[in-house]
Amino acid sequence: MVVSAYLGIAVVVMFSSGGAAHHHIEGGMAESGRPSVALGKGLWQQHGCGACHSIFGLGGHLGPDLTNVMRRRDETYLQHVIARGFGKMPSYASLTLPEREWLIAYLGYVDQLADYPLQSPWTQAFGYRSNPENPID
Amino acid sequence: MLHSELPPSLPLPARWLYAFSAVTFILSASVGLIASIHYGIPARHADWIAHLRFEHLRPLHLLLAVVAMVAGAMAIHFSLMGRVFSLRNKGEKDGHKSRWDWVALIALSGFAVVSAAMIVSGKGSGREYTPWPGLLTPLLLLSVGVCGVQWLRIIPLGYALSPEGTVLLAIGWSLTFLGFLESQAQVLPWVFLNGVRDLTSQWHGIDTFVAGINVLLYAGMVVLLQPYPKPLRKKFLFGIAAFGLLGTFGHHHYASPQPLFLKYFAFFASMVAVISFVRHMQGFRKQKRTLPGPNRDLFQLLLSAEAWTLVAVGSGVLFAIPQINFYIHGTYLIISHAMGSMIGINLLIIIAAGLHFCGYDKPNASSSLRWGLPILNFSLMLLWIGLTIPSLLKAMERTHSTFQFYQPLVEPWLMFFPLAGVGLFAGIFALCSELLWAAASDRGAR
Repeated sequence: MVVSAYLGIAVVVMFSSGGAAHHHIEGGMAESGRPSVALGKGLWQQHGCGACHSIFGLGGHLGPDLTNVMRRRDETYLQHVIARGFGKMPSYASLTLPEREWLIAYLGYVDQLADYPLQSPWTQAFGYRSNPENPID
Repeated sequence: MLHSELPPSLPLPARWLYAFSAVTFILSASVGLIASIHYGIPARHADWIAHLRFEHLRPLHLLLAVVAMVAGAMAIHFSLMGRVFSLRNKGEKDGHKSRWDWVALIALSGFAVVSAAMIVSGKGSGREYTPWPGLLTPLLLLSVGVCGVQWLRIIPLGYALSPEGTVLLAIGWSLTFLGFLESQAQVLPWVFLNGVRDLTSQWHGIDTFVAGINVLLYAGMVVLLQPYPKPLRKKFLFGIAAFGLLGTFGHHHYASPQPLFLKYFAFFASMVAVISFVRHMQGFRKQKRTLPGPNRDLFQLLLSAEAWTLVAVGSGVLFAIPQINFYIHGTYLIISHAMGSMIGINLLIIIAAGLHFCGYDKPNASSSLRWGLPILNFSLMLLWIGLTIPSLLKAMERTHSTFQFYQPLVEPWLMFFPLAGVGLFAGIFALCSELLWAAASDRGAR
């Protein structure tokens, strides 16, 4: 019975509408099929970026959360930091220019999913989308 | 026949697995201690450690912790298998022998060694809590699957030993297997290509295998502490526990745009854990504080595990309240919560079970248990208290200032990482070396 309940939830989780598929997000992987975003996600995992950085607060704490980094920094700055390193962050000079662009495309995709950190615990306790007039679900 | 009256019947793979679990816990603690220096000591003072890159240390630390817990759960499983067959054969020694035991042991060891080598060489998965390369997951599934099938085949026999423990073990192995399987759902394109769905499914998988391992260890504790077979509890209590175990995954990322119904589901499932908290609290208050005789030291381990269970469940419920989650999510308190659970509960249960089954018999001698346990408890408390301040600082500042602004305010407080880390390493080393010694020597296993 417990196993059946688990399987039911797992099916719901795997087929429920995640934010990107449900809503039309410019550059979202599921909608546009932009390979650069998927490649960027692959690089994010391959180089273990999540060990130090977090997305939606999940991941490492050594560096800043990068959910909305594209709103705070421009692409040139990010290119520079990835290639040269910054503070405790090592240099990833081995990454080619297109690879750095894929990583930045992935961060751009994440940026459009939602705002993090939230600004108030009382009005949006469960999180909200980047456009406050278009709340999730 | 009482459990404690059963003659020696500890299968050899169980001894190996207790030793393997102890070694991997020590290795995990060592890597964790080095990683804590990255956190706690500013970069300018820690050049000497910069070549040990954090993106290798963190996943290695997590891999070793997961392997240590699975090895411990498997060791308890084989110990109980030995007891079940001993009971069936009316006390005959070595009632349980199967080549599949060795298959499970070799698969797990191979998985651990190859995964660790891959992570160190920068070939890990890069995913939180499942840092091993996905291609090696079948080895892990093989070891867990063998144990699950073994236990499902002897359920009627296991019932004679402990109905409740038997059902819990069957559920535990099922959830552990399915959780590990689901944690690799990223191989499905429609999961990988959707960032939010990938996150939700990943955390559902993680929550499930962690719940599975917790259930397995708890089952071991149930059998360990009950001299007489205890009947199954009421079904609704099992239902509530299952709802809590299977439904809390969504609270790990309230802030992401996962479907709102999953967030409400997770919230209600998390709040149901209050019932579990109250029952644990009642049980803890009624609990005797000491036991005479040879089991006294082991009982202290389980008493500590029970106290840390209260902390873990209580903090888990609080952290799942959306308005509190807003502040603590993504802060260091989550690390305290996770480490409190893994070390304070899982490690202590494995040590207690291992020492019991391996025939620990020196209650009055000077033992590393005597100093290891207090140091471990104190260090965990230090971690909780010390990391509360930087966590609150980060929570208050991050909504309106940048990382570059608030991190210098937070950094001095992160010294608690290496400070507590030294104590945790010492405590874990003391307890695990005791288990290692017990597993290696033949002291008349129970």
